[in-house]
Amino acid sequence: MKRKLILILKTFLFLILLGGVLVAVMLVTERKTSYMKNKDFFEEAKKDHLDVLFIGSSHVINGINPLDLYEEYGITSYNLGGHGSLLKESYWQLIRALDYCKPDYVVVDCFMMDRNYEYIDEMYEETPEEFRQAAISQLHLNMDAYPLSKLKMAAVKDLVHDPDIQKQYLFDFIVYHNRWSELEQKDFQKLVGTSEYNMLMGAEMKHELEEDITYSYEYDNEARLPEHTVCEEYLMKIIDECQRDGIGIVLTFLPFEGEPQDFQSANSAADIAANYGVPYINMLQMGDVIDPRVDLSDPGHLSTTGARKVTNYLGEWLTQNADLPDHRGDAEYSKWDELCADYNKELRDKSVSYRQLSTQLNLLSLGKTSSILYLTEDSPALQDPWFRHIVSNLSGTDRIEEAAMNHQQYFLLVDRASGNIYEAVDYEEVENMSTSMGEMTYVPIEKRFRLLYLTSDEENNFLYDDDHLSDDIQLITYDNDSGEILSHIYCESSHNYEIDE
Amino acid sequence: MQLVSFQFLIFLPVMALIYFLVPAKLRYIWLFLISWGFYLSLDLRGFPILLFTSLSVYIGARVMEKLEGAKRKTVLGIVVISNLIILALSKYSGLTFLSAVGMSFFMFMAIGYMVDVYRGDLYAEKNFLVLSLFISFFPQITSGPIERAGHMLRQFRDPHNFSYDRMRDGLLQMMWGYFMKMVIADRCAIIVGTIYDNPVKYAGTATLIASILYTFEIYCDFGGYSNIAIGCAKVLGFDLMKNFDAPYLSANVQEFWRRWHISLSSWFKDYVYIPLGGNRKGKVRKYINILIVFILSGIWHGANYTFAVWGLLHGIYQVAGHMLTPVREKLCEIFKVKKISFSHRLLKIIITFMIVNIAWIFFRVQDIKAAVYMVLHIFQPAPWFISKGTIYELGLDRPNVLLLFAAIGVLIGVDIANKYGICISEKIKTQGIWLRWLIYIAAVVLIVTCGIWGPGYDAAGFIYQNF
Repeated sequence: MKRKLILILKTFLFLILLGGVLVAVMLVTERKTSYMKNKDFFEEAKKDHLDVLFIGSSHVINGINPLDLYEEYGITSYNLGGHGSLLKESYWQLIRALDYCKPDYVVVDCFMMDRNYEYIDEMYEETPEEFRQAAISQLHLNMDAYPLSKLKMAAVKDLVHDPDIQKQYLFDFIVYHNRWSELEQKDFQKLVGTSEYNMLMGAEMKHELEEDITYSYEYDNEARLPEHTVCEEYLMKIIDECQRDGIGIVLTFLPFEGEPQDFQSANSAADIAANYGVPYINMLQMGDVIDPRVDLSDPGHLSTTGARKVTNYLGEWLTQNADLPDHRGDAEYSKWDELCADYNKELRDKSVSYRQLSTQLNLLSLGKTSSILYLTEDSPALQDPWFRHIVSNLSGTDRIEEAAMNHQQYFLLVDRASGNIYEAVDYEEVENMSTSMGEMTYVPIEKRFRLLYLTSDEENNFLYDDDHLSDDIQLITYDNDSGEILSHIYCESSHNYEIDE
Repeated sequence: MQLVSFQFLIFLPVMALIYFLVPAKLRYIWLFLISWGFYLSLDLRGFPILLFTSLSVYIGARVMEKLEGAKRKTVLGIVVISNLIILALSKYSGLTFLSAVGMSFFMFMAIGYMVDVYRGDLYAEKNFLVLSLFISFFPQITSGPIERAGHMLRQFRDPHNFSYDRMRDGLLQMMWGYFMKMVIADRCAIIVGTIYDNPVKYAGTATLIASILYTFEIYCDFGGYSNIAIGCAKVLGFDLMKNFDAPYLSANVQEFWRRWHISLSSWFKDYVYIPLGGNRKGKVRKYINILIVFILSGIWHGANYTFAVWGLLHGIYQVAGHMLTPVREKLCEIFKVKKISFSHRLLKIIITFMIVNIAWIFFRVQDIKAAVYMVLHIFQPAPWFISKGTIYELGLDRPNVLLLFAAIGVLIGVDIANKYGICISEKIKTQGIWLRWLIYIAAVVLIVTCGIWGPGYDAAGFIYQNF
């Protein structure tokens, strides 16, 4: 009897140990993207810190920055956008999120409302297999972080048709055990709770400007979706849900390079908003919210600067219409201040040094550092309309066009502390520029030689370039307050503005 | 439900718990119900075939037992031929409504039982449920081992009580089976599939590696299944016969067939080779009998003629082996080769492995042309296939390839130990509790993380289930 008892105890102990190890293995092998995206959501929701939730697709993830919203307006929010998320997925995202918090407002982006299929693993009959696989993979971002529950099961069943594929959302180890061969340090850090996570309250900023984008469309005010779609149905469900729970709701259509079906969606969303009496902000229709050449990272997604403009627009709207509290200065929300400080530091670091000059110049427009830009008269960049546009956006003038037209050297100094902006074209001199580095003077001497020095120290030429004769662009960044030089970058613009690390 | 599935890992402990709670005399009823339920979950459409086989041999054996002389033979003939006709129609005529999962296995078991009763080695089983349980016992129904009624019926009638040691041993054997199947076989299958699907695209060394990996794949696939089935039966207190015994360490093809798919080889020996006259009717007749048995064995494996060629090759290997024995002996004498030396033994193992390996090519390909292409190319060296890292571009990345080779190394090590009478699981059991548990837990972790399973992986894919 005693032996039997010992055997039973030993078996239980073994099973407990085995179970513990397997749980640890599951935590380590799990793909961390969903955890990283949602960690702060669970924490802030628990503290009842979230006044606004943003839901939608990657347009939302890249287009709305809760930290900008907090810094400028004191509004606390979370970005629950999902890559490739249709309104049906957004609906379930919202329902799950409402299990954890009750926000004052929900902002729903209506992109892809034209999609008229029930299941992400089926889509349309003619949809290529890789699209289906991408959607199946992307849904994990929304799902994995949420513990198994009846609600999660209902969501999975509603979104995914194939019972075998459904299983991978309910027990994701089915998929992730294969990650054993690609584990990194951060995967193991999950065990001690110190792994990296999203520091932008769910948002992801796209700093890089990938191409020169100009709107090629003319917005069609009359276009409407030809049939009632599944996504329209779920938009209505979202509105119903919010209205039932007494949550304010705003519909949006964030800006990007739209196509005919997007105008149909945008206008049909307007009809739904009107029917339900809910506000609707259609930025696709508004030409002036963003400058697509610098505010779109790619045709579909906003860049960091574009996200700031869109976020500020929504911040203004919410401030004027939503009566939300300003949490800035409230000690309970100190974490938000810390995250803002971290984000600003990241922007400053990227403004000081980035692998691509055009992107760096655009980031400089955020004003985290001051800058000095010099282009030689034969610089190919001067003949690049997109580059000139980026510089114009930074300087606020069109003087670079003058230099380009006449193949003349160009000088720009943007001093953030004083707000002074100085420009010079050709052999124009600028004396006694007031900057946080001190008073400075710019004197172009000849094609390959020009002087930029502190008026008090004429010996030290900041634009000396004998070691960089092939480089046609120089960029100096310096601290807004102390004037300390942070970086001096030389770039050969014919090399696609790429900067050697 | 498959043996490699979550459902099975939940099903087994639950059914085992109930099994041991049921009074010993009634346990066979529970097992019978479970086995039929298991089969219905696998192949609802094929169930009538299973039912037919069970009823035909039950009634046939009972009737035959009451008859004498030629009538006995007639009944035996009717039952055996009717089952074989269904098997042949299903396999070779494409009449899919006549096919049933595992039919080659359960029909051979049933035929073996009929012959045993005919020969008077067994009494006809009076209890239909016990006989049906023998034919449909769930761990072995889909892929064997092809058990003998004499070995199993008495175990069903007089089952063991729960034994902790048996359960542990059974689970360990199952774990080894899962390791062979999920870590090795299914990993091999990825590289093998890539190269076999398009052999022209790859250099000679790639073809050689693919053929060797297939040789391990089929062993680990089928051997893995056998270990799971045997381990599962052991948990419930039943002993199934050993089906594989370090086959690739054989020093000649004859030995290989004593170690490979033992339950099928011995079935053919007992129910085909010996009735044909075996080696009792002279050398020529013996060689013919060998060729017949191996061609039949090939045909049993599949409808494609490549299987028959595979069987014929093994038959030729054996006949040639017999015929060349004096020549080999003479050569050894001339060159003063010490036959017991390690190097001689190793050389024989390598040669046997390679000729078995070549035969497997015929087993894997769709037509002879492809097989000939493969065979001609495996001897064209292209070592850059390995040095340039092309091997990492065949569906498995570097860590997975390295893991595969390490796992094959473990497999070979365990087989060598087994061959020399060292049982690794017994060795582990003698270790202290913490080391023992560490090994068990590490093994489980290895299988669940590094095993090939989950989306994109069809757990139903035991190669031998098709036969």
